[in-house]
Amino acid sequence: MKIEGRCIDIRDLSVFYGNTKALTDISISLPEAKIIGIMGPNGSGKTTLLKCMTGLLAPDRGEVLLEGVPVGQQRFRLSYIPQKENIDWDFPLSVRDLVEMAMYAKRRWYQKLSAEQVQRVSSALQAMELEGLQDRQIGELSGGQQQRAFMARALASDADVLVLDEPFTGIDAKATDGLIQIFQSLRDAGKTVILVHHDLANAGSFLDHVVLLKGSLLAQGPPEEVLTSDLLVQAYGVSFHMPFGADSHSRGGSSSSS
Amino acid sequence: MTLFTDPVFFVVLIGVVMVSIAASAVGCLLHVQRNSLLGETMAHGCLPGIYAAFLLGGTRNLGWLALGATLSGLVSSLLVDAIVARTRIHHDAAMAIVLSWMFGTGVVLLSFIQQANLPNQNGLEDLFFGNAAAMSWDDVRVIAAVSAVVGVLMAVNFRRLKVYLFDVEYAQMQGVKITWVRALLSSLVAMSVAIGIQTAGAILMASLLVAPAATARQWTSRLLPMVGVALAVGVLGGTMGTVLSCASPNMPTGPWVVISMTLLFAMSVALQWVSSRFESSQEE
Amino acid sequence: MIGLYIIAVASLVAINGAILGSFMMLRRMSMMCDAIVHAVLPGLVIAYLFTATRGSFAMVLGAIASGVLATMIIEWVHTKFRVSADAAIGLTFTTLFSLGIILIAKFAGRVNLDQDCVLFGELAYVPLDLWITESGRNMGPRSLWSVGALTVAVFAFVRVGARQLVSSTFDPDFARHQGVSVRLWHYLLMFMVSLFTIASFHAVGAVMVMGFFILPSATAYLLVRSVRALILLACFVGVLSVCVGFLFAQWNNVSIAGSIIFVNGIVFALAAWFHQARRPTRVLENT
Repeated sequence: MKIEGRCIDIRDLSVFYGNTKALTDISISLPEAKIIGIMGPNGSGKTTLLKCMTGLLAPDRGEVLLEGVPVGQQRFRLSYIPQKENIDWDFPLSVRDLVEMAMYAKRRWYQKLSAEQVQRVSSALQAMELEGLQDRQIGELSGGQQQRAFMARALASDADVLVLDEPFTGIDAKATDGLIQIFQSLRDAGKTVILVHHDLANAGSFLDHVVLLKGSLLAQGPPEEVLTSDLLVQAYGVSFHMPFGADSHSRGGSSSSS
Repeated sequence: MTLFTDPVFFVVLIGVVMVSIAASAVGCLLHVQRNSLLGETMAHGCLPGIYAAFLLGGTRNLGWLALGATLSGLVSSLLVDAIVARTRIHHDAAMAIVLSWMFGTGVVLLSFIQQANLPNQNGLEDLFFGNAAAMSWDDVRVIAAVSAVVGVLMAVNFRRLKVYLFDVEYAQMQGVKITWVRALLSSLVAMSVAIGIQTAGAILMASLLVAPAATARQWTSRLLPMVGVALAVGVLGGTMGTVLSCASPNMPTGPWVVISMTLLFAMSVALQWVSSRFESSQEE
Repeated sequence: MIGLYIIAVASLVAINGAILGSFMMLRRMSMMCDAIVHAVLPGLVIAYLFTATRGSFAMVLGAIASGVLATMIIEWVHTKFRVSADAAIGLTFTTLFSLGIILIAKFAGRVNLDQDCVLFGELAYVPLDLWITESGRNMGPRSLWSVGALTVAVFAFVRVGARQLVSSTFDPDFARHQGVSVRLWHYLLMFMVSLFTIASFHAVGAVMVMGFFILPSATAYLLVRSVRALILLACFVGVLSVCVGFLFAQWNNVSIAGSIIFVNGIVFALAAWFHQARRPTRVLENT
């Protein structure tokens, strides 16, 4: 089922690590300008899927298309924001340096950043409310601010699709709310936000679309259709009652009751 | 073979095998922590202690020098831990810092000894590559004593070490004194390295602490069997190395022991591969 | 004059070591430097045996090939045989180094336990008779030229590849995503490290090479907030240690190389104490 407009098409995607099947025959169409959650238990292939989507990993079978064109040829339209544990926070990099990295590919070694690029970096920092912190070393930031710094980098590269790996890890409730609001404003501005999400409790409250994985595709669709008891038992092995409806976030303009 | 009746060869063989035994066992403890290179760090870290001991004692008695080496090795370990704990420097860089600084300091001390023309200093520079050929029965007695201490300490504390190595927090909950175990671990490594200085030399002790453990790990992930296999590899490699080095003249022992150990590792890997192919063909 | 030559050569070595060592440290590959320093030996010996000339281009190539090959072997052992990274490093470089020693002992005459060689711990290289190893004496312009050439190469490498190196060090996935060939820059770095090793220890000995890879960079790392500052400060610390170390060695009549390392360690300790005293605090989330 292809939704009109810009979107990601994943066709028959399979990835093997040696003898282990990380992903088997995944075929999904992801809608544009939505907040999409990739969910599933540990080892279900979520990070692998993200890497295939951004062109970082070449699948053993199948392909990923963005508006009909293979993702590998349009990498600049997507931006990958890694898990926090994988970053060296002691690295001598200021917040501004981090965001400027988005510009590196477009400059030759003897060229400095152009005025327009400098402005783009500043705007991204402003949008993420990090202007005051831009000269701080990245390790000095709190968890939520670190996440926003990486999002600023993604914004500066002018990507249409932001792909985040577990953005809420190690962040308190207030920062989580802040991040969700950012995702929503990005979505409203026309960007597509795809994230690996773990927290079943708040999943229904802000995700527009959910993909439930366990090596293969279990289900995809609106949260209330996907995060049902039966499917959750299939995926996680435990049942969980989803608190739909009782929330303070709005989803794509529509609300639903459980 | 005339080789085996040669008393010089015998002395060297016993010494090398004992060193290999101690290092093989202790190396397992390092290997499971992914800290194999601590041996390399300590081997370089031993040097200033040896030269300082020489300066203080005026003697080249192996026991005395080994004491200096052990203390110096312990200091190296403490420095690495201190750097990691108090600065944002990471573990590998901390090891490199201590390794190079202690080595440099050791070279300063050695050059001081040499220019001061102190008596008895001949052969101190052997410690870089080892000169097993100069080993005496007195040396072997020292090596045997220290190896025995290492063995006993390991055996008595085996359970404690095992718990600490695999889950520090659980160990703490069980009442294991973490600082004590850490000190024990460092001491075991320091002692093993200290006695190996004469045989394999500082630079090559690292191999003895890595290769047998790495080979054993190919076969098992449980600590006790791993130590067992490593001991076997250590004895075999030590013997092979000594035989090979004595077979041709003017060959330093250390490198041949290293090559033997690596050969055993390679053979082990090959065996594993063959047996897994055999198993899969059995299943068909 | 000789003293000035020594300081000049040692300073250039310090600068190159600071630059390359900074990147290696940021990549958590400091111990790999130690491995490469040892691993260049067999390549050196084999090239010498083949070409039967000393101090030649072939030997430089042989050593570099040996160094780069060592890193490839380490990676291969680590991935193919499921050996942990640290054990793979330990296995590989000790084997290669031992191979080199055995080749020397067998083909290039008796390994000479000469006093001067020991000062640098490079007994291994003396029988090849190519390097001038006496502690500071006879370090004539030849060394200055070769280390000078090395400096040009290192500067060019870092100037052209600065962004790729930084981004592939900090976030290889992002760098790859941007089209940086992370693999290529990794091997280029390994190449430069091997080149540095071979060009430098003939001038200053094996001791200093490892020391210069780590001590200046680690010292600077404690005090800076940007990669540029890291490299500049590391160069400064390196040169400072060369000067003070040289004086120390002259006054006490001890090894120059060792003294430089010794002094650098003291500077590191001072920097660590200072860094501890003013550890910056985390920003509290207020939005």
